[in-house]
Amino acid sequence: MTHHQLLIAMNTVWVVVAAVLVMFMQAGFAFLEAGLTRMKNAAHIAGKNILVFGVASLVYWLVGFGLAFGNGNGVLGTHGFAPSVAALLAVGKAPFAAFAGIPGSAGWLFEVVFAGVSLAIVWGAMAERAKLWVYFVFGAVFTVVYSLVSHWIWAPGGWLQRFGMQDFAGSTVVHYQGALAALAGALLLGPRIGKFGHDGRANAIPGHNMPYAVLGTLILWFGWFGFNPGSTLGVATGGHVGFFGYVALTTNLAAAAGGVGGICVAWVVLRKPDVSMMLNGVLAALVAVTAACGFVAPWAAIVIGLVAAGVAVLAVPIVERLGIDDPIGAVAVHGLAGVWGTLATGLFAAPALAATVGVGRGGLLYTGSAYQLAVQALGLIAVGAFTFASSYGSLWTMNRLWGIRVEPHVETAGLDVAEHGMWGYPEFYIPVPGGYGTESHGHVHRHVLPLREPGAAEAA
Amino acid sequence: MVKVEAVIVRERVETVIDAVEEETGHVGVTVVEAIGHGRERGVTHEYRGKTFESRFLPKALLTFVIEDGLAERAVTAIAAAARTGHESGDGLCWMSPVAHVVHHRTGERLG
Repeated sequence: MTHHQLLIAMNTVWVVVAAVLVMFMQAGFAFLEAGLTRMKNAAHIAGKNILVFGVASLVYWLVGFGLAFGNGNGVLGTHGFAPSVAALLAVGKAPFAAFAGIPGSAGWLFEVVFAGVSLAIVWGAMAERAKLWVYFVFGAVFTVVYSLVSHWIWAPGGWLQRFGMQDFAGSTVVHYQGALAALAGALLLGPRIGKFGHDGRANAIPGHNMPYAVLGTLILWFGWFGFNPGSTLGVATGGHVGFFGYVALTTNLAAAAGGVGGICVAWVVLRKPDVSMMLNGVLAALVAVTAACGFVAPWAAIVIGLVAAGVAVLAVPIVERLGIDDPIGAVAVHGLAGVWGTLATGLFAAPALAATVGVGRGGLLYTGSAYQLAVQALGLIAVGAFTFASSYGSLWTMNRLWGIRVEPHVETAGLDVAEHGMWGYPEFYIPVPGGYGTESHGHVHRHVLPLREPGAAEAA
Repeated sequence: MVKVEAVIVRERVETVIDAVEEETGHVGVTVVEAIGHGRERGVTHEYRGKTFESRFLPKALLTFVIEDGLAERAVTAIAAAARTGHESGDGLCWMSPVAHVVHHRTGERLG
């Protein structure tokens, strides 16, 4: 093997491992979202992560990857749809020349799991009341929208990329976009039954399993070590071999600050060290540092994480006060923290690191120039308008044509039993054969013979 | 004192308790998560393509211990609040006399 081939091999090993870590974030979402919602919807909410990742993967193979990373113009890729074996095996060649150091297939795998994460965020705000078919249709629509924006910011020649927009692993591309669609969905669905009282005041609808939510958050934190460090797309970045280790460090520092900050802010502001707010703090910090992780010094990562945690803890009640029912907190945690992280990169980007990554320039704090901050803001405005408008428009159309919200009796009974025919925790509601409080088997099935023939005892 | 008990669908638990409070002024209830069935004889679920007959449905059992003079009105209020308009499964309500009711905190004999 030549030196160059060895480098490609190392790059590919790292990128595929990172992609697998990011794929596992779906497990994090499953536990986080199921934990923060009610027991009667648990199976539906956990299970939909598999459904939407499946939808996203198929659409991303068919059109998404081509739109996002195929050769094309500043707005969209025009090549690489349903890519061929040859295109997927080639390294650094058209239509996927965007990936210089890894085969197109490794690029696809790494990018599709990002599309899956962005789509997973959407349903957090729409939880417990959307019809099942909406996941199929909007999942496909959103994957296309997502792919276009990721072309603008990440593909060489994308129009925001040419301005030098710094979004290392997707505070804007992945998290802000997911939150914009989530907001559109929450607005169109309206609040869950019982979320707001007659006086308009919000009621608490506690999640049913906090340890699930904690486990989900830990899995997401774990997966983020693929998300951010993997976005180096190789083992050497701008002459620094092993740069992804540094990215992992800033990621972890921000998350740590977010967890500590989240629980402290909740303790002071909400008067209770709320566990779910600590989790929101961790996730908001991770979201915020996603744009910045390759561009900032360790101290800045900590500041970004702390501020993000504060934003999330304060924004969750504010979103609620606006009459928006967002069961998981996607709008606050992924949306506002995504905005903060994108802008913070324009403030704190170190010139040397910007040169290493090769995107944009130093931030306001180092250079005194507001150029980078302005580029970041331009990106937020453009993506905000495009993704919110297209999400709202498509969901509005679906709502007008067929209705995207389940009937009230379905919502009341729970999506598990009403849509899927079975509760997530059947034995909590009804006896099942051999379940808690039943004979060993069969007593609910009238066609099954009883254990002992009636009258046998008397005969004996 | 009279014990008023009602088996109702779980969704109506708070509605029924509010109705009793509004109608009689009585405050205090015990709620038990119950399962059972009436003439409907349960429900058919589906699991992995198999139908799954559950003989029982989730219900709630409410118990009110209430002054004699208020019981009749409580029963009327419960019946009205528990009626869902569905074909079956709304449950029943009944009352029975109880003796030697003692209030734990004060030791007061309520009758």
